[in-house]
Amino acid sequence: MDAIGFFRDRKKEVLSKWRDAVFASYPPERTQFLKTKNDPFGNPVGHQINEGLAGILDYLLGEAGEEDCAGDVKAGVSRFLDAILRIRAVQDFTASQAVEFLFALKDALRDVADAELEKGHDVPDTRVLDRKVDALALEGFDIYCACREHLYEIRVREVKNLSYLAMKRANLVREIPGLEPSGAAEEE
Amino acid sequence: MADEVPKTSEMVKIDHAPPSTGWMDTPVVIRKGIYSYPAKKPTLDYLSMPFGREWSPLDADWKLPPNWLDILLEGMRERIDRFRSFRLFMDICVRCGACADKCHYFIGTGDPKNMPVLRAELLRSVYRKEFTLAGKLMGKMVGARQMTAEVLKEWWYYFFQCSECRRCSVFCPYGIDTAEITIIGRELLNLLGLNIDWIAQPAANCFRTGNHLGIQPHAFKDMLDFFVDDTENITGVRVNPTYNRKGAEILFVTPSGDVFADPGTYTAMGYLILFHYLESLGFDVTWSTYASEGGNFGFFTSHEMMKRLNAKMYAEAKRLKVKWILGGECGHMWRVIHQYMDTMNGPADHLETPVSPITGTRFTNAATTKMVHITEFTADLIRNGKLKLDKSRNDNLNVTFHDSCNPARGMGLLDEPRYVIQNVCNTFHEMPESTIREQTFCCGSGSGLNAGENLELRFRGGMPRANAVKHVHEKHGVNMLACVCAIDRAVLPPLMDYWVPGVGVTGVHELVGNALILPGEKKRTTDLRGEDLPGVEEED
Amino acid sequence: MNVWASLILSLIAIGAVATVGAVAGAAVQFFDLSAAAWLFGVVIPYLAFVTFIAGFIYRVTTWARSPVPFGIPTVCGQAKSLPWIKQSRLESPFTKLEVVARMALEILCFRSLFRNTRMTFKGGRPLYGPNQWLWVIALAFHYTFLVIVIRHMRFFTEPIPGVLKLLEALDGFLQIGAPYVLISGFVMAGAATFLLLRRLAFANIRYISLPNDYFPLFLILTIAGTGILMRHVFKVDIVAVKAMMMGIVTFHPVAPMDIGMLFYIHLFCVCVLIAYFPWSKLMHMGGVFLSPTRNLPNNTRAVRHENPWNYPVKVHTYEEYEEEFREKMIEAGLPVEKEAAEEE
Repeated sequence: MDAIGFFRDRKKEVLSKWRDAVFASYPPERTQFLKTKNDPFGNPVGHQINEGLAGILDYLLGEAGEEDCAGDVKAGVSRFLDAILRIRAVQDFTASQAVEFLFALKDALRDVADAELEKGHDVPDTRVLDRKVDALALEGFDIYCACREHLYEIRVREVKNLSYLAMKRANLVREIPGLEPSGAAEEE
Repeated sequence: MADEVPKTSEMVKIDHAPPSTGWMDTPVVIRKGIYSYPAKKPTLDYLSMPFGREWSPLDADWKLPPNWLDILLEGMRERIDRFRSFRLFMDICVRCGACADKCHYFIGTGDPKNMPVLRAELLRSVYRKEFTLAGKLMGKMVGARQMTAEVLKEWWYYFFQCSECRRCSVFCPYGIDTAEITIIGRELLNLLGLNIDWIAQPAANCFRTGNHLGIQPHAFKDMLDFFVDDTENITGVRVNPTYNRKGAEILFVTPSGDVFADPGTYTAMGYLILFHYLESLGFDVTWSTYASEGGNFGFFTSHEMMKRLNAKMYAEAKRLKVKWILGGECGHMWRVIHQYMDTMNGPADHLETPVSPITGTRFTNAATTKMVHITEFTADLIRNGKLKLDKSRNDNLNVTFHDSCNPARGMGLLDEPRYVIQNVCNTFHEMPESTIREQTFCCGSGSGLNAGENLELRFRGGMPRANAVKHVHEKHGVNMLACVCAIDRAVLPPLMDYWVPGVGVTGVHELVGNALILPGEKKRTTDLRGEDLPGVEEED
Repeated sequence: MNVWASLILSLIAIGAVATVGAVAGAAVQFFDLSAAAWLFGVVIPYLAFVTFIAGFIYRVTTWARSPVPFGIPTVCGQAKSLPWIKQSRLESPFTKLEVVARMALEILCFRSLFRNTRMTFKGGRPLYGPNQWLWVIALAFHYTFLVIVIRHMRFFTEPIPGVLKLLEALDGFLQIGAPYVLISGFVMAGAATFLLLRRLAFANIRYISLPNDYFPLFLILTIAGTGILMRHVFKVDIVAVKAMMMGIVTFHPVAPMDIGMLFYIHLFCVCVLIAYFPWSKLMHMGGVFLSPTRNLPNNTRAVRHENPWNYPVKVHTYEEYEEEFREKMIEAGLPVEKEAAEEE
């Protein structure tokens, strides 16, 4: 049996181990609320993380429905990565902490495999999954950085708008007809 | 085999160890991105607020006055005697936790001290120690603790992480309102000069120039003149607002954000178009440069500062001898008008019960305060068939409505804006029930927290709101978030940009301005933002 | 203080209270100490009752005497506005009567607690399910508590009013056991246990809990437990109890010597509870009536709310404003006061 098929049969276990590891990165007073309150609007953070983890695992095991992502599996998984990392980018995490949850998936896979090994079952070579996770992690770094950049862009834009308005108010600005003020043009 | 290999997180030493101490013994860690810069000395001095100084929240020493503890405790004693809300809310909480997961900052940050109950306990613990016998005798056993400089830092950090939105109060079985506790908490901090810059400076500006940006009167007029030009370009009709005009029937006051910041400016153009339309029907209104700020940053400072800033509205109404006041779209401005203004600065005997000059409707719900919300006013016009509207001019928009905290939970203004929107737009979808009306989620930046340096806090706190928008965006294709609050209009665009790209933000009267057919107008090809109207390109 | 410290402290406290009761009971039962019977059967109950009444009145009047400077109801529905917009009369009361109705709903039905809903998706459509188990448990707890208090009036009245007999009959309608099992006691004990477990099970509720959150629950559980035991297991002499209670209410106290240890634990715990009541969070019972976010009408724009300590403040007058900006105002064509005055 190949690794994909092997873990497909044990997806629930992997997901639950992975989830536990991810939520363990939040303070304990928080974890319970995040994990247990199942309400997409009352607990959006927990909900997005849960959905995202399940989505990423589906992708990893080749189970992402084509219809979920309009045929573009890669875009599908990016969407899930983005949902999670966008949240972690504004929480108290360093870059390594924010992306670490993807490596926790390796541990979850390994733990499940080890448990089978102890039962005396055959375990397939998992290298293919390891590499897939590594690829995901690299993409995760990109997404995390993009989110942080996005934040800074927003911050810069707020400052720029303020100072531009200030100059405009002080009648220091004479716009060239037809030309968008700098800053506004970059917003497009 | 695998057991001997440490996990990745262990290798990079990511510490997930929970704090084993209780909350009282867990010291506060002040983080960048969460706190706002402290108030500066000149602004506090200008407002005659005490202990202005240069200090940094990240320093160990906050340069407190030597007798700060006495000042603080005396301040508490005074407020316990003055506010039943404060005294009662200090006493009756049973810590049932019904409020715990209702705060957008808790939902978004996970910081347990952002649970409303714990935010209040920060103050309550000191109240117990200093003002109750049980607390004095039994200390921590009954949740009492000594006031220290560390506790003071905790107060500062967390009372400026509450947007006074009152959502928790809706769910509390005793109606305990964390906004009240935060308001008092900030009053106490202000006794020691511990305000934040984004509140103190706008408050000082409002006091001096009448608006939060410190715009001088001529520049205020300049800005509106820009809108007059823009409006003419778009509609072909030149509107002519008047300023500080004595003898007008109605004084119009709106947050200055509508005059100075996009997309609020388009809402201001909406007001101008509406007022011009009504002029020939007998509507007689003036703007004021003195009372040019509806928003009240004093509300985020202290009751006294709120009163000092709010006083301008009645004073200006009296000076100009108007009959009543019309108020623009603003959140906390309306909480102040609805629940505080008459009590603080009334009775306004120089004014009359508002009557719509167009429909003759008497606004008896504003009989004593004599101030009407513009969506009440416009809803009445539409109901009476007084407005000629072309809804199709908003057909490029698929709209949802964000109830701003203060108009929703502070005054119950829920159906008026919806009625207006649905009469000027063809497509409207509500967000999920648990995120609108009295259960609405805050924008995450209310009560003076819309600074630039605390963006992470704002985006975490705004996440529950954005999440609900995302839902209707994905499900119904919603691309425009309407609201009746100037802070919303300032902070929701970046929030949407981050969480739900593709959704814009608008005031309700921008939509009205788009749909309203002015007599003698040219064929409009763009909306108030200068963007092509639906169907225009095909015709060309 | 972390959860263990809180739990241990409150357990020590409740242990101490029960032990005192037990020692008193033992002193009476085994050593015939009539002084103990007088102290724990007469003096302490009187003291506890006086503390309760005096404390309750003191707390409520202290609150009631504090001013309510502003009308700050938390509005939970559409306000009264234009005549054709439907006002939500219970959630945004305008008149006094509507306020009374809102308060009644709050106090009798725990309206706000009922608001907890949970949303789930079913086939892509949002579905609002109740998440109101805290509401259910709280209601069960408070109402059975009330029933039990009323039921105990049978010890203080002679003859026993028919209403009490009816209530007891209803309470025991299952007709199991002899004497009948009264449902209220078990429900209350169950609900209290539930509230306790909830405090321990949920990390964030555990985090906010103080020793004085656990202590009253332990106290109430001890009282309920000893009560149930006395009725069904170690039966006590009801006639003697009644005689003693009648003695107390008629101010002819007697100190019965043969009621048993369990009874003394029960009675002492009750005394501690009622004496503790006014000084603790249990006063939410009185406080809820005075909550300004609930008991005020949302009519502040129609009827002026008076602030008894409203004081004048320093404002920035129009004159000061014009003084600073006059030239610029004139230049911009804005009307000014002073210039107009000079022209006249």
